[in-house]
Amino acid sequence: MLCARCRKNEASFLYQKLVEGRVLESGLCASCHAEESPGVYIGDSPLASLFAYLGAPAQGKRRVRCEACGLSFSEFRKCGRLGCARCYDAFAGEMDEVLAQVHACSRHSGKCLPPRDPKELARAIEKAVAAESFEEAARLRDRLKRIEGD
Amino acid sequence: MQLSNMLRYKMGWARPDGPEHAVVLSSRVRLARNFDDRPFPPRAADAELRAVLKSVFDAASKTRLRDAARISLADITPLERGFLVERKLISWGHASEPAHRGVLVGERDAASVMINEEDHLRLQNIDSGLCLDRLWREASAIDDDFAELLDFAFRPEWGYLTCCPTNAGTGMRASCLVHLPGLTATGRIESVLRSLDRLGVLVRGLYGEGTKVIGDFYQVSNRTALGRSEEEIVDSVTGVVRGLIAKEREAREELSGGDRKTRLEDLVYRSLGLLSHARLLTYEETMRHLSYLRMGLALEWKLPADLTTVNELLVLSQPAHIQMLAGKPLEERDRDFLRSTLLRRKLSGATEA
Repeated sequence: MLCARCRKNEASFLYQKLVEGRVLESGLCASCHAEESPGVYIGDSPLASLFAYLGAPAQGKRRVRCEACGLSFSEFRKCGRLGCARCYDAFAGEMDEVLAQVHACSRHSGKCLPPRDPKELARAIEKAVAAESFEEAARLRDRLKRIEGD
Repeated sequence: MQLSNMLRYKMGWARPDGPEHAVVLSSRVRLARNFDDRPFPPRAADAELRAVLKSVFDAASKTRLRDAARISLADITPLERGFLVERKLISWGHASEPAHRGVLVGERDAASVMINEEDHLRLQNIDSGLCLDRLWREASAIDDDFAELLDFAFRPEWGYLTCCPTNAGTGMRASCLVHLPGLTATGRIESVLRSLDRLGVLVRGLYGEGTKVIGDFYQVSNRTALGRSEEEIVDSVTGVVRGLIAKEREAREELSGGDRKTRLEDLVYRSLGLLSHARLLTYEETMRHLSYLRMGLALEWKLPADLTTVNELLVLSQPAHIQMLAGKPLEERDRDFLRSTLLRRKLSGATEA
């Protein structure tokens, strides 16, 4: 993302301003940031690193498009927003790199959406128990009971 | 639902009894969730948006948010939408495109869900003081309720999928609104905020119409959402905020000791005088002086005001809130006049109490 003020340097600060009661967020480079808002440091933003990454010249010329919503990868590069959940699958090769750039990691390790299928659910419970995630196992067992009760 | 009723009840998060409330005003946990089989809102046609809004409103009646108010943004006035923004229940982006957008608001604003903002659902739990771990558990329980009823987009390797890749993974933002007048007055704020940069958090200031931060309030939140568990994110933000609390307390003690005390007392009492007697008060000026008054109260000085009133005034002084009190849109000057009246009334009420 380019600095919103000088439009020359790469933006590395997230900057907020209240204009007519609306909070506008934009990216500023270090020197414009120093001039615009003395004494306030806001830090790099993930959005700035996303745009810095997407703004870099593309490697290869793979033309991919999400079949579900019609978004192409080059359109994503311009706006930084995906069109639907299936875009992640359509751009699977690229997304690992995008996510790694933004989050410094491309693998999820938090809460998981429990499966709907009872067999998959039973496997997930075993896995949770093996990992000693007993709270998670209890949550999944409750879900299994509800599904089997239906 | 009459939005003006919301002016009368107190928001849970403005109560001054949360943990570490002397420095931390409120904590907030937000979870982004999306339908697996529908385009994200920025790319969705009207019919899709309408269907999402209806599914979420319908599903809500079978979750623990069954009694929440269901507000369609298209059914309310621009002023009322501004009011919900100031209340932190919706975002400006959400308010600016009201068609087929909505929000669920639970009791005392404690839990809410934005519908069709950038993501299909943004679940939010908010409360007073430093309490991110509890808020995460509460938000997660509401998420479980909805996940039973709606088909959320999730991939084991990338977690919950979101419109912007910066939110993918946990879909979580855990944030605290902290009040740092002591660090600002001692001039240490810059170096303290800089030192946070390495700790994986993002700091935002609240800006006024100019370029200066108003009222010494800062929002601290996690920078990334993927690769760490929700508990790890909560622990890391909580740890950073605890560090800030310690530094802020140190600064406040320094400012209120020895010969510096008179200077600080002068600042606080001038603010009290101005807020209780002025006849035209802009929002920025009000915030700046409420900030000093709040510091005096947090230091447990005997002042003719209390923290509940000051916390409430921080919310009620905002432009849309003032106009909701008047029951109509007002010019800036009229707002400033009404704001000063509100402050005089509330602060003299606190004296009598």
